[in-house]
Amino acid sequence: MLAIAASLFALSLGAGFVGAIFGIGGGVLLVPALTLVLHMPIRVAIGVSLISVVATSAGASAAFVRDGWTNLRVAMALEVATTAGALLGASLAGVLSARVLEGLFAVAMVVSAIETLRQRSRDGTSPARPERGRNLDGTSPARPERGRNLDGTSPARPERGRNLDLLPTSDRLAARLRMGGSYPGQNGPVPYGVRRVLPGAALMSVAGLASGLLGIGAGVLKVMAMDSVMGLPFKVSSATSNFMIGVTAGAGALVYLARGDIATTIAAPVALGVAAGALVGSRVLVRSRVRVLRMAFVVLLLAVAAQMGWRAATGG
Amino acid sequence: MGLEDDRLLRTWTPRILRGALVASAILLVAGLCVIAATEPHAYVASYRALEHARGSTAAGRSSSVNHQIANVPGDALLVTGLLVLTLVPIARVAFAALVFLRARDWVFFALTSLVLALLFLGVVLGRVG
Repeated sequence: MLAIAASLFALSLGAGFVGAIFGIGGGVLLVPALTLVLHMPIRVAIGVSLISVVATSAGASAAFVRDGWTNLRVAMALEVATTAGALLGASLAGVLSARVLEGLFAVAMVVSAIETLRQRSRDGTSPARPERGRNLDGTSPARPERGRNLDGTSPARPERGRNLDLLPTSDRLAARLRMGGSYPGQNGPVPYGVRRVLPGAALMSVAGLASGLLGIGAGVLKVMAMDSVMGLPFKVSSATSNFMIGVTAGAGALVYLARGDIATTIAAPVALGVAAGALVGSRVLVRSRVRVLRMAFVVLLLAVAAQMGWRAATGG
Repeated sequence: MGLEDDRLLRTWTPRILRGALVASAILLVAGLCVIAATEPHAYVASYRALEHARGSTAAGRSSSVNHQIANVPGDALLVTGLLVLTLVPIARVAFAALVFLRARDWVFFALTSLVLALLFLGVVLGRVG
């Protein structure tokens, strides 16, 4: 028994660590590890993974929330979309065949790999892109006194390596919901704005669906929604995603748990391992840019996606 | 929502998350220790049954396998630990709803209440499905 529990713990420790570093929740690694390495049925793996994703989120997001990286208002608002999607996904997972789930999982891994590769060139922020010479609402920008902000104060200097055109303004809906915020920079809080809430929420509902259906945190889609669509800085998106995946996966896990579909023998050591790995991984994320590991991670994702795809196609 | 409410959320949310995680971890470790000390063979049998369920038409509905370990001492601790872990999101959303209510931030109180309602709907869906 000890050998089985220890191997499950070690496998999950690695998945939780890597998942927290890349903000993807660990499920995208855990499900293939359980199915391809330990030969578990994919539905069992999905149920266990959902539980572990909750543990990952609880472990990793606590530090981000405390340190001010997580945008709580964005998370709370978008959780409506992700939770609804997760409930639909978890319900669908109960009726789809294992091969369909494996095929969909392979697709999810390829999407994860592409998005991870895309993030390689990022350096902490993603700039909003208004029309050249215009504000986001189409009006001409006010001209402040040379070398001064509109309110007469001296302009803040952007943190080294960050984009100069990152706008701290939000669009109308985001401003009404007071979603804009700031994150801890080297020279004090760095303000940022939030835009395109509704398209972001639509993508979030897809992320929720993927989470409930495949047992993953769908952090890649969440980060994409906040970073690329809503214009949040990358590290804020990653931290907010880590926070949100707990509720998204929790919604799916509740369906599985109430259905009696969580294998306690596996879920216990896996949850412990993933939580421990996530705790360590979240500290690494805050302190490093992990560019070195990113390419290796992409190769791993694509290799496992190919294996999952092959299994779905052949049933082997 | 003022600075005080934001501080409240940022201070207590991590505590709720970590507190529930620690409680869950203690329960899960205790459950595994009890099983290891009393009926390790039941754990191994349950694990092996899951391995063999891969090719079954049920595609691994673990509810049919969990019963192998259901009456083993320690399993109740495992189930409680997993339940505590799953309730973590509910606890932190409920806490946020209370903070928004205290701040009279009605829009976010409504949004967090809706998330809570959806989470409870998940339990109902699981029971029905």
